[in-house]
Amino acid sequence: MQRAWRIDLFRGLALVMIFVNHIPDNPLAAFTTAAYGFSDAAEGFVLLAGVAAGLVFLKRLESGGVAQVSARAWRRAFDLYAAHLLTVLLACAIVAHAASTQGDPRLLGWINLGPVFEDTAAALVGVVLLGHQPGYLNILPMYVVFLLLLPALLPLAATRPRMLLAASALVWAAANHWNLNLPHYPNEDGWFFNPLAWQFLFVIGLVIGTRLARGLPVVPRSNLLLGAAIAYLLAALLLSLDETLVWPTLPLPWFLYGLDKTWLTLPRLLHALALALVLARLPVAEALAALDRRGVLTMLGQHALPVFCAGSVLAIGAQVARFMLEAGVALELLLVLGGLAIQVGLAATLAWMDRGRSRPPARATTEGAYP
Amino acid sequence: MRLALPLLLLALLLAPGPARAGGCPGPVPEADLGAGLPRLAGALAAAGPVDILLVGMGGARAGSLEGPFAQSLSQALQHRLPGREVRVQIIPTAGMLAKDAAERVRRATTETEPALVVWRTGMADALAMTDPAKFGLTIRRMAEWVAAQQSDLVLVDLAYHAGSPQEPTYRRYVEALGTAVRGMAVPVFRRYAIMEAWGRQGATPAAALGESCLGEMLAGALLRQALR
Repeated sequence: MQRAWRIDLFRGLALVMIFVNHIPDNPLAAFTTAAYGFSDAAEGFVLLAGVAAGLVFLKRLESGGVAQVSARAWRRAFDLYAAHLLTVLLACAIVAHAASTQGDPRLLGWINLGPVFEDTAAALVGVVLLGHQPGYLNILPMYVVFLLLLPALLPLAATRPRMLLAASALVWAAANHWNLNLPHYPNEDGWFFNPLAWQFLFVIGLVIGTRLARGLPVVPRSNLLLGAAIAYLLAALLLSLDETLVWPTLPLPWFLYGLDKTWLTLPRLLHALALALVLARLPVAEALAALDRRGVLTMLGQHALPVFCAGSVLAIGAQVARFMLEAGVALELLLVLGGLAIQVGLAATLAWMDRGRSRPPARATTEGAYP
Repeated sequence: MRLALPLLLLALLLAPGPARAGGCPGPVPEADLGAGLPRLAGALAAAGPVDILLVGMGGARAGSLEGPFAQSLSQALQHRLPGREVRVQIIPTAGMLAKDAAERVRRATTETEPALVVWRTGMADALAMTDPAKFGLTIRRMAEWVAAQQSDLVLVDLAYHAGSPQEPTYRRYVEALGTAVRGMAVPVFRRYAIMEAWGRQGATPAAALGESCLGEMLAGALLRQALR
């Protein structure tokens, strides 16, 4: 799989950026895409998850049919679900410890964990049913939904990609127009990553992944399109850096010009796709790989689920430590770099364990690397 | 005749709120809003429904600590404005940073064109220790944006809890929020100062009751300011 290393590399980069962005306004946040445009690493991560799903599961579809895809995808969904529950539990323990040692009940509301401590009976039901999702821990539930839907989506991506893309776009637009979202419980809200909106990006990735798996071209060669993508990224950069800008109100449906992450609004979607096009057309992956000679980013990308879960918990721990210690820049940097080092150590350990097994290691994009 | 409605509303304003178990602490000067609410006043003077957006107050589900503030604010407004249709929409943004919640405010304000937006914010930013200057800038830009939408904005600042070693951190965000809208006609409901005053008076109610009291207090302050 000639292109798989690029996917793992960019996924590793997205994981690093997600971790850095989960400790808001730390000095390294200036080096993430979120600081320079409408979208952030989450969009890239979801797009790549779709690509990886297409690459990995198409072979299963062709060899074992929908039944085998269902079995594998749903088992993977269960893995993600279990990982999500464990991550939430660890986050609760960190926040509970902070609140009890500080004697400050306000801390219990950290990252929307308030209901877990104040309305425990209802919140536990919500957590188990994925209706209550703490902040920063809300992307895996969306992946669970996508994996549950994969047996229906994949055959369409393989046989009728245009129809699937059109239907997916329609669902995205309908969800945005009519405010359709999966419900939160016990809070009366919707999912932070609305699967009805974000599925569009996942499906785009899925179609790309199935084409890649068949060796078909996926990157448009039009220089005009590349120029338009670069122009859009530059415009987004200028708008993002303009601190005096008051976002306009236009006579258009809100989702066509708003920036809400929950709804994957059009400017965010276009920004993510423009960035993906530019990264695919220009030799960015090669340049990154040359810088990262030891393949650390690729290794992180190959172990995305455990690294993502560890990063989520470490980011919450770092936030708590920064707050309790009133950390200055030096300690902040230490927390961020220390967290990254732990994630690299985890990925290296998992890679070492893979090598020690008799079956082939997870060298390139595999189910184990999903999401 | 023009004065009749405001006088009637003022009389109703002075009427006692709905009966509740336990009592709220007495009035404190910190509860005064101190700036005008022309759009809310205009909506109250007109005959039609009054649309109010409550942002950042969690869900309205009974039993949660986030709920009572929005519930009591909503109920107190209805109680003090009998016969008027007060349409309250709650936009929960629990745990969200101001920059993320701002997008929710934009969308809901664009779609409902409310007379008043009440936005409780700052706690998530304080806990996450976002850059206070960036936090203030987000608030300032949103205040300008809401004003351009012909809606009033009332900000509700952070909660206070006596004895926390991190109080200076919380205070930074309280000050950043106040500074952000200085010179603008944007009232701040100083929850932090009110709760601190309760603490000084030894009258701090239990958490859920305190939230209800703050909601009622804000409803009274809103109507006092709008009808002034």
